[in-house]
Amino acid sequence: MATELKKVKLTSSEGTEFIIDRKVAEKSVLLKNMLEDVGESDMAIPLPNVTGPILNKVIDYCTHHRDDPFVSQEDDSKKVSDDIDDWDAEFCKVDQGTLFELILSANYLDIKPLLDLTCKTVANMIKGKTPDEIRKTFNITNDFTPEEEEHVRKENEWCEER
Amino acid sequence: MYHFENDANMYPLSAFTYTNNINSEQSVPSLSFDAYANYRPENYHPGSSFLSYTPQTTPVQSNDIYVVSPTTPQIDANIWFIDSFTSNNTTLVTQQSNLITNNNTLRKKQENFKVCSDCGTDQTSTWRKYGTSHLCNPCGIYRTKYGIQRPTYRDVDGKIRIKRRNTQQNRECANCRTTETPCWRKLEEKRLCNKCCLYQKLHGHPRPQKIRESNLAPGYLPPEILDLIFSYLYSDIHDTKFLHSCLLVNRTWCQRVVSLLWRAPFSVRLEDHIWLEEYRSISIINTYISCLNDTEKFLLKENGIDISNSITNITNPLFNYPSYLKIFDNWGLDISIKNWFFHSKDKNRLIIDVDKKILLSETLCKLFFRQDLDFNQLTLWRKPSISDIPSPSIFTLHPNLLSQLHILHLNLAYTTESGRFKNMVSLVSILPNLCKKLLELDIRLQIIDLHLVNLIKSQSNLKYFRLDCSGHISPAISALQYQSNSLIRVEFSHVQFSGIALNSLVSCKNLLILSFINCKGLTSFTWMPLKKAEFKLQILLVRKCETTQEFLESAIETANNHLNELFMSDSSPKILDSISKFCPNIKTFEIDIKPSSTTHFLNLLSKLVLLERLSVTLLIYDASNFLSLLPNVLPNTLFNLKLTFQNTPWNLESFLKKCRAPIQTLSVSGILGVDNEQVGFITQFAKESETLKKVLINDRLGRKLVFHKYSDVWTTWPLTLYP
Repeated sequence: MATELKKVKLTSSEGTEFIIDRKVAEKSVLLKNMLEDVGESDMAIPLPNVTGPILNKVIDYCTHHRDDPFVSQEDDSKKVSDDIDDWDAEFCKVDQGTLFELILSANYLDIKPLLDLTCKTVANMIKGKTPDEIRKTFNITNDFTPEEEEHVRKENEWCEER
Repeated sequence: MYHFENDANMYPLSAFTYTNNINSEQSVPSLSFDAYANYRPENYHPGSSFLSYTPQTTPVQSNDIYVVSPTTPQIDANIWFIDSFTSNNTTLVTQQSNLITNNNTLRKKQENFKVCSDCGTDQTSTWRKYGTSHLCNPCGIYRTKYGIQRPTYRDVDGKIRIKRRNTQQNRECANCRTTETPCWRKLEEKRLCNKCCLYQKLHGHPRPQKIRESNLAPGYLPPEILDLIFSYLYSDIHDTKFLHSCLLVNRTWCQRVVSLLWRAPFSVRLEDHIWLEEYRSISIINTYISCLNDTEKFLLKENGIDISNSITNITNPLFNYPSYLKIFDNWGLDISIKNWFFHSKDKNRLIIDVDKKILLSETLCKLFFRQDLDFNQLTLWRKPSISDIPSPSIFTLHPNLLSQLHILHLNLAYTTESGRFKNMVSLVSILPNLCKKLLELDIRLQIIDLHLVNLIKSQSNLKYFRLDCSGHISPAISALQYQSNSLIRVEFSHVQFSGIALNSLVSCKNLLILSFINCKGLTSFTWMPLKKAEFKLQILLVRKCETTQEFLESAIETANNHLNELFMSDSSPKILDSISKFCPNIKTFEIDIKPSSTTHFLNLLSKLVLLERLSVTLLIYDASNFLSLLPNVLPNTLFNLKLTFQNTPWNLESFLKKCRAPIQTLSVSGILGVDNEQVGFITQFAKESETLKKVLINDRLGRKLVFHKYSDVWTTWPLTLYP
């Protein structure tokens, strides 16, 4: 009950301050550990790697999923990327730059479910595309020489679907 | 009056003094030299003015402060003092007394002392005059050329620096997109920063980018994130269609994908009866052969193995493929080698020479093991069709190979002819010394021997233990007490428990999952010690076992209300009652229902208020009465329902209409009478339903019907099977 009401102050990279429930903040393992180490404090926690708009999105996510049980890591069940629920799918309808910023922030803040969700979304963007289409989608330049590409193809021939 | 335009123009020193020049109405700074010696201004300019320093001759105070002041025009005793570099708005204080100081040593230096009035440097090849002020060479040229002073900025250390290339602010490095560099360079018509250009010239390829510098494409995501993304596109070697595209995107992607693909090229999916496709194993073996050294290739040729195909196809492999191997499976390797031989050009390929096969498998194993690998997972099979593993001396030579092993599967139950598996037997005997960090140990065999007991004892952190053994198992069970601090999950199958009590599990305080499948002789005697157990079970599974009712009842009582998931075959009324009494909090429930227990079961369901997943196998032919009552008792937390019938006709339509539980996934198998009309109804129903997302229907003829709602799109498969 007491922890429910406690607030936590966060500062984004450009100095914007966010005040959120401690329970929401604790979705991030990084913040959870930090709060446990620091204990009671009114000091704002600086997050120099996260910009304001992205932090806002992250807080949205954590608030929506605040009551989700903590899922432990050790399940090596087959990973599927099409089990995204409607709210999450809507949450991920953002431009690519934001999506990648979200991935990096989730990784930095150690929010596993958000990292999984965003990576699944990227995986779904990759599915069914040719290498060229993937490069176009993500604006990647092909740095293979033609000989290298041929080498890669030959040496990994077995993963071509037949 | 002197006016500071901005902070950047302020000289950042407390001991820095200015004198006000009345005649010219220009401010003239005086420098105090002790501070100047510590801090050499690289850039100082007082707005728009001149500076000319000549030493002031009168020493006023004999401390360490010396004042330089202009000779002409003479000072009017108004000397301004800047108190600190934090002051933005020129807190100037008249402190004449502090200022006029002198010292003999410095006076000499001051004779010819000049400071550039624009950038504050005192060193330059040529002093230039601009109006009445002295400028250093670059500042003078700049002024002549542009008529204004060189722009400055303050860097991170607080030093004032010349802003370079201000006319070319829009320049951007084509590789790393930086806008600042000491020197812009051009290479192959691309404008590059100093670093990127030198790197590319030296290494022949573009300088790799850090994430933050780049435009944030996933190609530049950190490797561990790329790996996570790729893991959603790949489960095992039987499904590579997505990863093959990723492989050819660019170098970074290629590297990550290769390390993923070559982690476990020999995995056998036993449960799905999926075999390694031939073309895959041939290509895998070919690539590995190309990684062999010349001596090994020569040795293979000498022994009549035709490897010309592999060598001509791939000359110098781009990656050291064997070094990615993390999961080793001797059966998978055996199958791959067989396939490879079968498709080689060898004339006698139909009769595979066992010696050749063993030679190739040993050569490849040597190749793997000399990579200084550390295996994550090792699966050993003893089957009639496959040959022995290479001599275990290789494992003792490379102790690292197994020291980090986390998962060990020993499938030794399939043949008793251990004589043919001498190497494997001796490997198992030394395993207790080699691997001590197992997290998961899965043993399938007929007889537990002393080595395996030692293996269990020697582990430091065993979490998951599975035993499939029809022989005498009590030594293995008592060995489990050495793992009582770490064990989380224990599974038994085909175990004969008569006369064996589970004493060793009593002190396993972290145990969460306990499972018995196809076991025999489970009586209250077996469970007796566990009544005092410290663990709080979350999952209990007792399927297809010969048990007494007392065993089940005491198990349910021990599990108590911590239990989350319960899987049972037995549904006698007594047991259903004890479930409702002791485990009302279960969220997942799987059970087989006999005709005699339907009423009890419906009663129980109404009490399980937290139930989320329910799977019921109905051992009843005429279930119409049961099914008409079922929707009324389904708890309103249920979102996953699975019903397995014994070829029963069932009207899904009326069930769905009556059902109030927020079901998201509905699976039904073994029913009759699914026609196009019902399919149409289900489609319509699911479209309108806010909760239903997935419907799976299997009928007794093996036909499948799958509706899957994923972001408003429905797929029906394979509808054509229903005429």
